[in-house]
Amino acid sequence: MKRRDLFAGSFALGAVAARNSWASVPAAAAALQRTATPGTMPHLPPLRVHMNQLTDIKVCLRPFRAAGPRLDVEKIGDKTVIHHYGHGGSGWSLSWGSADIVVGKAASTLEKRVAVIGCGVIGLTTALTAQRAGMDVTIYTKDLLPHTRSVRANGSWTPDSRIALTKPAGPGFASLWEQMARYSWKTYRDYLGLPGNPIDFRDSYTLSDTPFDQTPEPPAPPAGSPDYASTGKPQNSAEFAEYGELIKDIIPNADVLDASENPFPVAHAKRKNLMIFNFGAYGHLLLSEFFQAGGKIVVREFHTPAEFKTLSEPVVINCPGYGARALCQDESLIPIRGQTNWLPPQANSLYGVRYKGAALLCKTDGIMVQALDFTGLGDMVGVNNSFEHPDRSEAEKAIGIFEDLFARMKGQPA
Amino acid sequence: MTRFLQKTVQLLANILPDPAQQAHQNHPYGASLQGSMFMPAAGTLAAHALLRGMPHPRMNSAVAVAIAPLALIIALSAPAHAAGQNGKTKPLPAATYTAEQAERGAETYKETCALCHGPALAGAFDTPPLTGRFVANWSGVPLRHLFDYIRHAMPLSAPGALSDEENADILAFLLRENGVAASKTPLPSKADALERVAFPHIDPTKNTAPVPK
Repeated sequence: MKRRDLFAGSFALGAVAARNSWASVPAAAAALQRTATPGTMPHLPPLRVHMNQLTDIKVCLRPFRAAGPRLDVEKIGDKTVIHHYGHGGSGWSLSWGSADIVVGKAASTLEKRVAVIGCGVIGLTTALTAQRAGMDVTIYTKDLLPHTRSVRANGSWTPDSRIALTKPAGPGFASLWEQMARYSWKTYRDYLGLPGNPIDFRDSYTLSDTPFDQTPEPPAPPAGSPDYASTGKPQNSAEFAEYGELIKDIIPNADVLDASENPFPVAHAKRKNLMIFNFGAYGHLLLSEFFQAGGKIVVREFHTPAEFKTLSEPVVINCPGYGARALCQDESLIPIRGQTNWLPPQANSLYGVRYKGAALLCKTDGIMVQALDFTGLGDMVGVNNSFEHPDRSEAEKAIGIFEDLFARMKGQPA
Repeated sequence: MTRFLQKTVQLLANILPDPAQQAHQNHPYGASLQGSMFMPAAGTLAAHALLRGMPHPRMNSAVAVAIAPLALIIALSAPAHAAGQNGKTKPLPAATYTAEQAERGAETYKETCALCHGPALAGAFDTPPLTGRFVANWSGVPLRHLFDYIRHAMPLSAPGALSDEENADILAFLLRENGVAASKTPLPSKADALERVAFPHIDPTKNTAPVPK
């Protein structure tokens, strides 16, 4: 019954299309809010997303700072310490561009020997960027991949996900962000098409039972309601910065699909080409590159920045991620809890779906399922929650959404 | 000539104790670091390999297997140092605790720490164990450093939630679980007093710690 409705819808749309003739393909694309000419129904095998297939639950704390990442320089003893942490939910995406900025600061000291503290994605890309700038780099870290918090992210291009709050970050940060995002994007493109697909693209579908232009936006908070300025913590999702518009000229836009090319049993669908980071292939590749360029890793744990004084390198780039809260006692770091739930990879299916507040993404190391927002809280979900333990019921709920979706998809033409 | 003078001043500054640091002994940024926190580079690599159960990427696995036990011995038997004035080192007395303190600490541990670090202190994939590498991290260091670290960083979900006494009890429990025998002298719960005792060195062959349940 439902499917017949869908087909009826597609005929209706077809009829409308037939009545209006567009002058050109670009005109048609613009009218349909599309960037491409209509394609055919993509063949998407349903995924085996069931709770009993779960292979892992990973929980991380995003290192969020209201003013954006910490990039300032400090003298500790005779060491020049360049801080580099607090990228919220955008560390992977912004890593190369952010590293380029701090390595520039390191270069201006004229010193050649640099210590990098931490070996998450920010530490590793900082170390590689410093090597590429001709520096001699030692990474000091308590943990290596896959023990760092970085690999507990979902691993996709989300450059302005909880990166800052608009007001505390100020207008200046927007252009710094743009610089980082553009630099990262170009660097990531250099890792496309390599063996093991360290970096890849996925068609990511956003589904909705109601038309996208009727999706309710969370109401703006009334004037005078508590916010970051009055409480020291973000209070509503409208405070979080969004900078995506600044780089939309290089990021693939979303296509709204019509019923004839929507493979899902849900009335409305958008498709976007999403860059993803495959942790295993990419992490090992970065480590190999670091060693090949003569880099050294020392496993060592620091408990206060005063311990940096004992390092032999005159310049220290401090990349501890959320660890900065303990290491530097940085209270400006606000934890934002995130949980990803993993199922075995399914080689015949390489796509992503977002539906009913949950996200799914097929990656080389598994199918990632994540609860994004079940409550309409938007970016406020998980704010100031430092409970770094798996929540099985959250996994069940997110997986249940897709289990139900793919059960309804079974009757789709193969 | 000016450059030479600058260099000399800088060298002297590096050697002489930093007055600011002494003035801020209570501030964690001012806390001095102990020489024994360094493990020889080869030891670090091998200990890493040993503890992670895999060879370091730069190390041939046969070498790792051969030198790993050696590295562990080096790591565990590094002499106790307490960097005193003018860079002179003097071993600090080993910390002591009473059985009652450790008992109380065991209870507090169960309530506030075990969720992450596990009932047997074994940690988990994403949580460090409180044995083994933990000992390598703290052995020979004034206990105050660990005390301060626990005070400001733990428990992860509510840092600073425990009292100094509770944290000292937890320290006593951790010493017990790592094979340090109880004594009649209690472990102080004041930061100043903890500055003057070290996390003891542990002989793994004489570990009397209760077998984890």
